[in-house]
Amino acid sequence: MYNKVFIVDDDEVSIFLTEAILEAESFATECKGFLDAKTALQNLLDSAKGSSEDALPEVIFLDLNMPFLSGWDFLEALSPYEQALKGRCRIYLLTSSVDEQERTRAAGTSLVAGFLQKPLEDEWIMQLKESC
Amino acid sequence: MQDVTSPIQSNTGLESMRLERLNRLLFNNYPDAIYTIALDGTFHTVNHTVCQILQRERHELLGNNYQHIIHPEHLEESGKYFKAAKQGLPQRYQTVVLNNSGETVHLDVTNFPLKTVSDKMVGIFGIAKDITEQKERERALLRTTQELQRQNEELELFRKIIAHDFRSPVARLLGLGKLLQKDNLPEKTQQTALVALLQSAQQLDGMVRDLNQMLALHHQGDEPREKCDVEELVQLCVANIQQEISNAGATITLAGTERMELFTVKAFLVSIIQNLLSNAIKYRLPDRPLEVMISLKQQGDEAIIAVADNGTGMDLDKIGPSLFKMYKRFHQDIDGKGLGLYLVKEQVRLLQGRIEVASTPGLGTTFTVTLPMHS
Repeated sequence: MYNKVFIVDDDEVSIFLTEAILEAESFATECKGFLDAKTALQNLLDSAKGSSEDALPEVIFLDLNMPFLSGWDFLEALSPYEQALKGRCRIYLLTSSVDEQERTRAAGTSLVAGFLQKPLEDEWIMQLKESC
Repeated sequence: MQDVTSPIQSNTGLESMRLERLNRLLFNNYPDAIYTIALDGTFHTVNHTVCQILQRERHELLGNNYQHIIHPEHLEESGKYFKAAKQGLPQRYQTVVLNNSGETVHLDVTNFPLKTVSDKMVGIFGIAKDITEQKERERALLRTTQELQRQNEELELFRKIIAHDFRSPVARLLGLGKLLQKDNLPEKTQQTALVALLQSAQQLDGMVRDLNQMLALHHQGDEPREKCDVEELVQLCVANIQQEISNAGATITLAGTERMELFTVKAFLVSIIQNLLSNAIKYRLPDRPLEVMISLKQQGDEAIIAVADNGTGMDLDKIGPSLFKMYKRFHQDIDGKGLGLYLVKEQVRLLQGRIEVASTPGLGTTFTVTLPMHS
């Protein structure tokens, strides 16, 4: 079981769904959902820089298609802290998009640990849990 | 059977023809325009085709300056070519002339300097081919290419809408369905999931309807244009959304008393104005009474319609490029389908106009729509 997981998604239902599935599978002790990507980013940056006591989440489920700050913008803002995040925090893109271009782009982004398509499958959750 | 290996059998007859006469025959019957112009620019000789192209009698042309038939926009250019030919350099160029009915005729012109045996310049000898049809075909082809390009871009846009926007409620429905299948789900989770299931289905339904409306838009673009009094249409829009206006306590004023009449697609113009008004109401500041100013101005053959509000405003540096995209929303607290501005932009485009936006966060936003008076 993981200690801490972040879900970043501008859609309330999506957060509820991911949380409910993770809960049903006893995936993590703490599941934190962020409707506002900026807040999540600030949270992460503070932890990565060490300016906050909060530990980094071990897993982040990041949506791509968000207003204000897209998933790609989010990753770009995190990229200077890649070393600090390495081995401590894995970022999975969790998107409803079936656009192959995005999958390709994800494969070329080193911060991305995996590309998952909504809805979250139980099998993936099992696999992720095993690699805990 | 005729012996095809020796086609010229009566060359004795040909020989008897004098070269000069042959030349004259050729000159008069050649399918392209042939002419000579004196050094002062006046026509010296013209063949039958020149008269045909210009729809003028020979005597109307001879002794008159060639400049009289050139399209005003091409006068300067053709003057340069004429001068160069006078200096002894053959010229080949395309130009436009006007025939007697005032119609434009495109010509492919070749002008040679005409010299005497003692090498003295006496005038210009030229041949001009009527390429109007070819030009029109080229233009039609270009229009078709542009339209195809635009449609391809649109197809790519619809692909993206399906890949991203339509997939989103579908994924939710699938996820919620799967979740609801699970045993011993907490009662509260189950309730929330059921509500969300219905909402997602409704959202998907709304998007299908929107897309249908969007696709129908393009057929409406072919609709006949009619005279539209902009002031009347603004009043119609205000009446249409009177409820929203009163609920918001908004004041809508029309500046510019000048009567403005556009020849355009009425349904589009109404939709454009109404969407911009609705937008202003949606994005008003909660603690400042909304004032919307619609100003009308005619500039040349263009109508400028500006809708200015004192609402929330936006940071255009951040959202500028995405502002008119489908299903993009920039205000978290306000329920919008994210379709309004996309529709406005598409309708403006179909009317061959343009839309600009200026905005300052906290102060307000101005949308300026420029449309041809006659589209």
